[in-house]
Amino acid sequence: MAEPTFAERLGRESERWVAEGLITAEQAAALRGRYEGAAAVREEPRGRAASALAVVGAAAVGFGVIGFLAANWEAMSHGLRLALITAAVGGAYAAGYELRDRTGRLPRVGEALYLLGVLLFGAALFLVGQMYNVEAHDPLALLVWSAAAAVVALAVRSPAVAVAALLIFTAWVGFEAGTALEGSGEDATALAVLAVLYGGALYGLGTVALERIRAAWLTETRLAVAGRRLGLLIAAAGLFVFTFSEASDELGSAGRSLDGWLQAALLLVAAVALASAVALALGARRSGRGEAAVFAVAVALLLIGVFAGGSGDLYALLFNLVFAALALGAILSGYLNDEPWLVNLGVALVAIDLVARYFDVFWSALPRSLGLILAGILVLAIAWGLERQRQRLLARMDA
Amino acid sequence: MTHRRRVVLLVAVLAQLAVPLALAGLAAADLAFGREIRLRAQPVDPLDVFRGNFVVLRYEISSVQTVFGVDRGDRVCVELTERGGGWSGDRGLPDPVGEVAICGRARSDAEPGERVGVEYGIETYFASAERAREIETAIGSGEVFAVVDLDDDGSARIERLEVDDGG
Repeated sequence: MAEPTFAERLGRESERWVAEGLITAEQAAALRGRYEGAAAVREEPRGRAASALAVVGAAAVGFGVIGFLAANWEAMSHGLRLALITAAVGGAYAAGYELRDRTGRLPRVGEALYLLGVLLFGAALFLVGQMYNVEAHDPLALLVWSAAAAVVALAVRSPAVAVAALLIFTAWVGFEAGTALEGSGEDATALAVLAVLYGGALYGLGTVALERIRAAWLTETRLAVAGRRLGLLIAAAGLFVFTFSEASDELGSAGRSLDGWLQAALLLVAAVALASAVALALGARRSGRGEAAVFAVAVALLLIGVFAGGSGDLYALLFNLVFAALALGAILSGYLNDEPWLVNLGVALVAIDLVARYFDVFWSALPRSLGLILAGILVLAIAWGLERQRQRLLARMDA
Repeated sequence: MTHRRRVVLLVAVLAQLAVPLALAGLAAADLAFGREIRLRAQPVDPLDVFRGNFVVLRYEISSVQTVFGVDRGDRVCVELTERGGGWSGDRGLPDPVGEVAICGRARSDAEPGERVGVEYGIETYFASAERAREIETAIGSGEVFAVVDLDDDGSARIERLEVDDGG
């Protein structure tokens, strides 16, 4: 069994005190009420620290096992290597199940061991490929790995494994696109376009899922929450690229370098992104329509740029406006929906954009040292202003 | 954890144990039952032969003259004949022809009569850091051959690298 919390111990002790006549039942209830909230607040950071440490430990062990196997390759027979890999994967899952789900003794360490099992399975795929010089379609291994991680995340209801599944799936999307675009000439530009579409779709679908799907598996794995955060980050990163006219200028040539299948794939992801934007607009979220509008405009602009081409300067100007709307919109949306992470991300995006614009427009016209001084003062001023704004917003949200 | 989720977890874990073992089994079967040939090979980067623990190889058959129009990704087969201690060929065909043939995928589009790059899935060879250093040193003093196992359908799997020092 898991170690009892302070609140649980107090609950049992207070029942004994009442039975022994030391205090009345009302006094016991008052005591429990006094400490329940405080205990939860105190336990939570400790729990998070234990979880974080366990995850870091699991990752270290995972990479250590991979390193050990790789370093001692020649000294081991194929059979021994396979036996070690299999034992490591099976052992991690068995230990995770024992600690978290069968006995409940160390749930956080158990969850980290589930994560370790997922990491080791991925390592096993690549190590076997390396062992037999398998040159299959490389990205496929990531897809198999993410599918396996998703099934484990759903079975054990683990947020850590769900995040891993999502990250591996995203890596598959990127790797698959990178492989397909290899040699097309404008692969970096096309990848940035894909980032906006994929990230937007992920954020939209995650938001809609949170709003409409009331299933235990979604709540317990926190899959939709992770999808929204990762999606917004990826979309913002992709959009940021096109705020520079050099990148926007390549949209048309990127479109021309895509063959029929790649254009169809891009349109498919764009359709998913637009569908998720429509669902967002139709939902009950207070900032849903605004968020949908920003994503729809970004997707439309990108598709026009890719398939029709045009002036890079004009696109850069428009993408600057869309990026500013995204950054400021994130702050507003976070405020309206009581989501501090959106406020924080929005503030960070505003800061990054302001600094980037400063260097983008003025850097070449200024001596380097003067530019550095002015940039430093500008950054300090931005930080001062944003910090005050952020504190005010967070204080209002807490209230 | 409910009984159903326990079953799902058990199936997922068993599948994760089975997939690497099955991959290894299939690869081992290919190596055991395929026809073994030697292909003359060259590291793509002669200055940095091993990038980490693998070497990227190029073969004489990495570029062939196609007799049919190909699109990138199309299957291209090459009939192989033995000469000078290694197997080689120069005609890209749509299907395996002859007693020994190897098949791969076109790297680009090509018209009939043009040369086209072909990938056979044997362009990367993994080795430990120690073995990589040995091969790197040996490459400087002789010709490199990749020992490859061929299936009936022309698919190939690299088994090992050999270096002929000419002696």
